[in-house]
Amino acid sequence: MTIEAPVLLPADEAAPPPRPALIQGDKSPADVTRDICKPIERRAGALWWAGFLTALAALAFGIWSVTYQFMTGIGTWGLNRTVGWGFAITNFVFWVGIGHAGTLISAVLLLFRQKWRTSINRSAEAMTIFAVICAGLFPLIHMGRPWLAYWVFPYPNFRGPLWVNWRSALLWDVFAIGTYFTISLVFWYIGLIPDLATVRDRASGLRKKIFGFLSFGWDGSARTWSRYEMACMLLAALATPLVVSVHSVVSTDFATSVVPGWHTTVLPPYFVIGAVFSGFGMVLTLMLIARKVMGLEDYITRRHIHAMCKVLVFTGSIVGLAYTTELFVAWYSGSAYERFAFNNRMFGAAGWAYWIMVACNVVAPQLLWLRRVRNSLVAIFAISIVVNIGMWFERFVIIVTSLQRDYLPSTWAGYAPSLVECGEMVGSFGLFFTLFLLFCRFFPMISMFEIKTVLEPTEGHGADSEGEA
Amino acid sequence: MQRRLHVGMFEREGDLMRAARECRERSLPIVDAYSPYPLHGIDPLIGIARSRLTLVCFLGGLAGLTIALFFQYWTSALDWPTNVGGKPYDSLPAFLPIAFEMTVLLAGLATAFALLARSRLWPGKRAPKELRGTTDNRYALVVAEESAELAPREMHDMFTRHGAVEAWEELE
Amino acid sequence: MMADGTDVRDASTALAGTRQGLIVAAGFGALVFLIGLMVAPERTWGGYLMGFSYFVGLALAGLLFLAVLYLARGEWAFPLRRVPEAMASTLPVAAVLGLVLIAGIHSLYEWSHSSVVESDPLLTHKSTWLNGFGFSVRLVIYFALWIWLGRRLVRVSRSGDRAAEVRAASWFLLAFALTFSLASIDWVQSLDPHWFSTMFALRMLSGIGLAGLAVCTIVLVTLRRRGAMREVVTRDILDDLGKLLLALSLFWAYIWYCQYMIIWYTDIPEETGYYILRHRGPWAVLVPVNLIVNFAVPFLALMLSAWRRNGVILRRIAVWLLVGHALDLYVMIAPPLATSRPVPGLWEVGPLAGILALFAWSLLGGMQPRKQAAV
Repeated sequence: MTIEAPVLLPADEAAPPPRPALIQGDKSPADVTRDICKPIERRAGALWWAGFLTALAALAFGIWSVTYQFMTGIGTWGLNRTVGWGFAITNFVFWVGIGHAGTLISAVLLLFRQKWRTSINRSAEAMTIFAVICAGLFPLIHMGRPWLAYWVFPYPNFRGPLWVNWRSALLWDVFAIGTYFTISLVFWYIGLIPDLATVRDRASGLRKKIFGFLSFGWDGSARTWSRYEMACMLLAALATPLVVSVHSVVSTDFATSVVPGWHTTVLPPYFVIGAVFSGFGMVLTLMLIARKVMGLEDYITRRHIHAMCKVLVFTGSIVGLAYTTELFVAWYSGSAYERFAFNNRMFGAAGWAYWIMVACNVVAPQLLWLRRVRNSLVAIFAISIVVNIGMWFERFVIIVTSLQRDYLPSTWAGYAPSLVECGEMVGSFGLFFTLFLLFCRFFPMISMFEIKTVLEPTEGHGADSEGEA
Repeated sequence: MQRRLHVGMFEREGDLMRAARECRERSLPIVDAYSPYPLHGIDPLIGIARSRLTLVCFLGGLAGLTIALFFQYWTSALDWPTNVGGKPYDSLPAFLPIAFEMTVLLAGLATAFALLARSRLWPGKRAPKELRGTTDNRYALVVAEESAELAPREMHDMFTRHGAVEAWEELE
Repeated sequence: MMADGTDVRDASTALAGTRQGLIVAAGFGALVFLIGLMVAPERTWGGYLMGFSYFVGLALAGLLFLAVLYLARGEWAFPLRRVPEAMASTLPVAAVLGLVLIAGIHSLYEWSHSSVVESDPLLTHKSTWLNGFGFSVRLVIYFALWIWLGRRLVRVSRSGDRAAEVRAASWFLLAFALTFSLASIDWVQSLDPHWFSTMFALRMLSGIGLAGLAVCTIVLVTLRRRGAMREVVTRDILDDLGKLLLALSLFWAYIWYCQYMIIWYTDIPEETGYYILRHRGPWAVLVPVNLIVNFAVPFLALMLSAWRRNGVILRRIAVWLLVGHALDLYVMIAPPLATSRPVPGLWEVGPLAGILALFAWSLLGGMQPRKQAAV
């Protein structure tokens, strides 16, 4: 019996039409090496210095704030007995979220063979690592006595031994963030090794020594490549569920509580999709800057930017759906506390923050449906920044409005950040951009060896038809 | 035992692949190929077996899962049972997040270290000087000469016929 | 391929034969259903609801795959898209089943009895949403939207107009996200009318995604084994399907765990009733069974690339997952209804099997070229 004929597609229908080349300017592998190594082999331009010094100034403000806070105490923050989590945890969740797009681009798109990732994966992964560093700092400084931070680890001690509380979502964070940082670093560095070798082979003197040390003696042997590709696939397959787990774990800091507005079952995937959304916003911001400052317009093309815009619209819509679901179920649940929490969130003392969040996250990305907006890099840049602001506010709204009005009206309180808290937030942006600019300056920010695999084969280089047959 | 190695340096992926295919047809043992990016289809020509990193990764993950589950259970239910929020001593649902993280951590580290160890890559290792261009835009094919039946001249000719820009021989 | 005419005629005769068998099976299901309505209406309607949810889920999964395919431009899967299209073509049949479901409201849903609602303030509050009229109107709206936008989605795929594909896919996804969330509350979550969970739509979605992909896998492997589509359904494609099944199984477990863990951890009375019914007492045995069937076994089996690349084994795993989906629906639907023991009987299995036969019948119908042209 055969039933197959009916579903067969005609040959011309089976294959989608060809698409424009990923990399523009008809590059050969040698061109790729030269173009991408150029920014790190010449002296830094004025634009780079301007950015670097600004970031450094912000970082200095942050260092001052943190030092002052350590010397004086957590009382330097605007927290009170009701609102025990404020800016610090908002920033923590915000920065963890930023990191997610990096892993998504490098791991998930690798698994799905989306080749457009090759131009942006390296810098997106670097962004992940720096964002996780920024994120990890906030719980640390929130401890007030960071010199005792090692207490979060389960080590044998003379107090019984008294172990850590494995049932605490805060401890889950320690393991989730720790694993996420480690695996992201390993994945990023392994991806960097072949390109470090390329830089090594072009360099001389001290530079050659340093890159020689860092490149692990890489020689591009086929045996190594074979294992290398397998290892990258495995790490990608591990990183994908990992990235989902990380923001899910972060969400349980809230979801496992009894606070209305925090405790809701959808929170883990809702946080994950929000993280992807904000992360892509940040990738877009950085890529639009980087391609201009570093002159990489041929590599980060409009096609890449459009693909990222698509992700932004898609995830932004899901975030909007999550907001709607929360509202509907708060009403549907019939629970007085749930309904109050969401009423307060929208129309209470901090209601303005809720509407900023909706405008930035749900409405703004939808502008990308318009062709005129989509074709304007300035407009896309503006939207990417607006998304970052919106997602920061989302965390602020969840954390602060839910705590401000808890079960006991006599404890209701307001919350305003102090200068020290603001300084620490500015400082985290300073740290992030300082690290990112240093990365752009000293490491190849586009994965050369992966770009070389997606070049369009032409007469001068690459595989010719006979060779591939 | 000393072996004579013939090295052909190419500037196109296709040239190297054709040379490699001819070596394969003539049963000349290819020692290795060097390229700026992974060449697809070269593995069977050289005879590279499928990597067993998957197994290493799986075992690493299994170790992480077992250690994490056992350790959490042992500390919370056996070594010092503590009542936290009325939760049972053995709170399996609450142990799973850390068990998962440890699974991924050990699986990932095991894979990465196995890759480095198996490929003999370590910080500060020196790379062979004569193959420098292979990290940029060149492709090198190394063929071993195990019997005297093949004249060095013939080897050189075969490489140039396929478009090699350089060809030389060395002793291992 | 099918060069000469006799083969084609044989093929359509054989296909007609299979379809005849399936429609007879569906008829038997209908017979059991009718008898069941007299003997054990609640259980019978429970079985019907399981079958209906299963059927709608598969049809929607087809549209969902198409929409995602167009948005993500997943080129490797482009040549396979006739299979999800055929799944989607069964949607009108599902709509008819939905209209029949309206007749079962009183047997299925506690909120449909005004005497119960009046004495229960929570249900009184919810009666704005949960009432027979609203339920029926919404059901018609859901299906109207799905069929309308779904047809557009299939139609643009013939036109080859990229921009139109993206537009149609976006509109469908937008409408789907909203309507599916509400429909899953209406049809399944409101069986436990006091309970609520923001995760519930995702809980349903993870199930239909897994079952939908399992159906695609079965169809594609069968076609491959019969000799057709060999150039298209390569071993690499089988490998990809296996990996996707693995990922969706993991996703299913993730959603299951998140909803359970958060409710277990917080332990507040508004929410725990749902799990007390299912995780304590006679139903508790199904909890590990469900996790093993839908997660542990497929997860471990699909880790082996040799198994993923073997059509026969892959198809077996897919069939296993389809059974798993029925079990998953059983755990969600049956406990609040009449039976106190987790033993499905003729009244549950009959309607469910009949509806699944009807689905297979419509699916095969959707694969015929004449029907395709008519869409």
